[in-house]
Amino acid sequence: MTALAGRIWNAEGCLLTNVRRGLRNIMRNRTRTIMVTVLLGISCALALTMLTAGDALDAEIARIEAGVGTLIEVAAPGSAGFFATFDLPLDQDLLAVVEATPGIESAHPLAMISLLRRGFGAGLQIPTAETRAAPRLVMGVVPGGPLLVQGGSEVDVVAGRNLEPADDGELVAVLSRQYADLAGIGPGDVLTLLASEEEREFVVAGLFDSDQILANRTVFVPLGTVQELWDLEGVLTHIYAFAETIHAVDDAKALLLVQLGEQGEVSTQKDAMLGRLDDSLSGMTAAIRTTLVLSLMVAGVVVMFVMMMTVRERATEIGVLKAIGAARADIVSQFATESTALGMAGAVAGLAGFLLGGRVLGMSILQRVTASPATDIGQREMGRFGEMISERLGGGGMLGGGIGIPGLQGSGLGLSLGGLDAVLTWNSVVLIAGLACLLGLAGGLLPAIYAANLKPAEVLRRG
Amino acid sequence: MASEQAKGQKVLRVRDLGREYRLGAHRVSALRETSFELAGGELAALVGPSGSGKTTLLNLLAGLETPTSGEMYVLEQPVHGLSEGQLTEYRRHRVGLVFQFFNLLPNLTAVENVALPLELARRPATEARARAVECLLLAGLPVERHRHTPRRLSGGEQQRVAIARALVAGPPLLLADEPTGNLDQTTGQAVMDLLRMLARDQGTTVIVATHNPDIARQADLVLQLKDGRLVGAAD
Repeated sequence: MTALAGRIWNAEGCLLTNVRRGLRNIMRNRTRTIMVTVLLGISCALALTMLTAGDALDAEIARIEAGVGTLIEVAAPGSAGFFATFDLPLDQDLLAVVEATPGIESAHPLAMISLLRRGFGAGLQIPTAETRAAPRLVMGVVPGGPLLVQGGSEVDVVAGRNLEPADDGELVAVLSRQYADLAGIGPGDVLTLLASEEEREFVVAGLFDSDQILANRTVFVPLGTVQELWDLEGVLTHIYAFAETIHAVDDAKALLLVQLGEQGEVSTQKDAMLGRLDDSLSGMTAAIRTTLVLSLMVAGVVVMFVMMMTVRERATEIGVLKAIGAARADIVSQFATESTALGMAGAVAGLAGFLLGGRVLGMSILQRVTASPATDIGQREMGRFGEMISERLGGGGMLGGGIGIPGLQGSGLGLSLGGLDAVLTWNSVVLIAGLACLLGLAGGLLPAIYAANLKPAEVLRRG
Repeated sequence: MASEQAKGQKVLRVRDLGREYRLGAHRVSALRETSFELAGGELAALVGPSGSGKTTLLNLLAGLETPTSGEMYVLEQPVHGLSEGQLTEYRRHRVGLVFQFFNLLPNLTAVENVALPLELARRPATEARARAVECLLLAGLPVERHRHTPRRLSGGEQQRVAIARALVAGPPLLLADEPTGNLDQTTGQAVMDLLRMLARDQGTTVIVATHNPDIARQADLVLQLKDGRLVGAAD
């Protein structure tokens, strides 16, 4: 370290002559220096653009993933998907297998009964003009446990009481306040549902609030009651498991696929909602990163060629320097200083270029991402989970197709991608400046070593 | 200064010095069995036709090349067989070089060019500048020209700067390769006068390679080279 410092600073604490000379040499050929700086600037501006666009996409992917949740859905074979048959039986013993799987935080047994499949409005108490908002799903849950709607969101009781362990096997229900208002009923009143071709009267224990269509059309009934009334003794229709983190979802799913084999289908909310959208964004991020690396590599190659040209032009001068006492290290440090300074100049030009036009380019790239068919497909694939994402992301509005995603308004495309913005951060600036200097140094090192190895007698003879 | 202390004593001793180059499968002798001695304050002219070995001998004396045979001593210190690092030190302190085309660094001022060898030798910048000014004045470059870059100096002035640069570290040996070859007669004579003055007053041993018989006649000693051999040494 001391030796290195000795190559840069002299005894008086001044920059050594070779470093000073390296810095001064930059402007010896102004035209070339300006051209190289512009070239490096373009590379650095492109790199900055890619970096900021990549950061924006990364942040968006992280935000979407955070909003997606960690639900892993285990269902009977043939039960998964939007058009699933909800009440195919799933062995109840599988619950213990799911609970014991590493990465799973909690698992909830469910028995979902679709009322729509049994005839629109069948078993409804008020088959009137309001049937569009009528219950469509009976959700058998463990009394005292969370009230999970289809898709894994939890709703809270806001009036009356929740289901209790003592309710298991009893005709007790919790329904949405929206539906209760439509039906003109409340806690303590009676709700009639058709169960196995027979009308059953349930006592309304409590009401919950939700701004989701799917949730509002769900009636919660004790699991034991559903199993008894709909002939599902000892079986479930679904197990909703939650992974410990979003990053544990894929591993836990893989383990469950192995452990359950053909006994159950495993799907994740992440797959369902992000699926190809995530792949598309990740692919775009990879393309952006590749462009970033290529831009910087081009910068390094430009520096190397320019410095090699410079060394060849100044061969006689190098010979003179060695003849008057310059050591190899002096020559290397002079040219390395010059190339590093060129890299720094390129970084400054790149920053100016980014501010002038790179940000617009970045935004244009991001707009192309949000408008790509892949993201459109990703959006469509969200299907039934749309409302829930909306809720988790903090939005509330609904958009055409029943998918309420904040940020979609206006663009009509993508998962909140309208919020993407190529924002320049200090981290990006420091990173690009550092990389530019490093590439300048690396690009100039080979020519500098070549220069240091020139034989002074030979180059002086050639003149 | 080292050169002043060397006045009158044996500064350069060359014995059977030779240099061969390999050209494919062949070996070509550029310099053969060359022997001579020079004392401090002597000015020698190195003459001979092109290809006679003048530049090779100067390069060997300058430490830019290493001999393939023979010995060479400066102030009784062996120069032959030095490592690259030792040769760098030798070039910094023991020998000064003057070239036909001056070879000043174009983006440095006169004083910066002259101070360069001292700065490369890690001497403090202020000391190097002061010594550079002293040498420029000795070489006859007026103070008002010290901050000029070579582009703004005449050929004669540039050669004065080059001589000052060769002198700045106080070497006992100064080698000049055709120092007047790129100058008109009057300016060339002024440069020769300067070199003679340096030898006489500073005690520097000066070797001037030249094709010009008028220049050679002004030397204390003429070393005649032919086909790589020293064929004559006359006062």
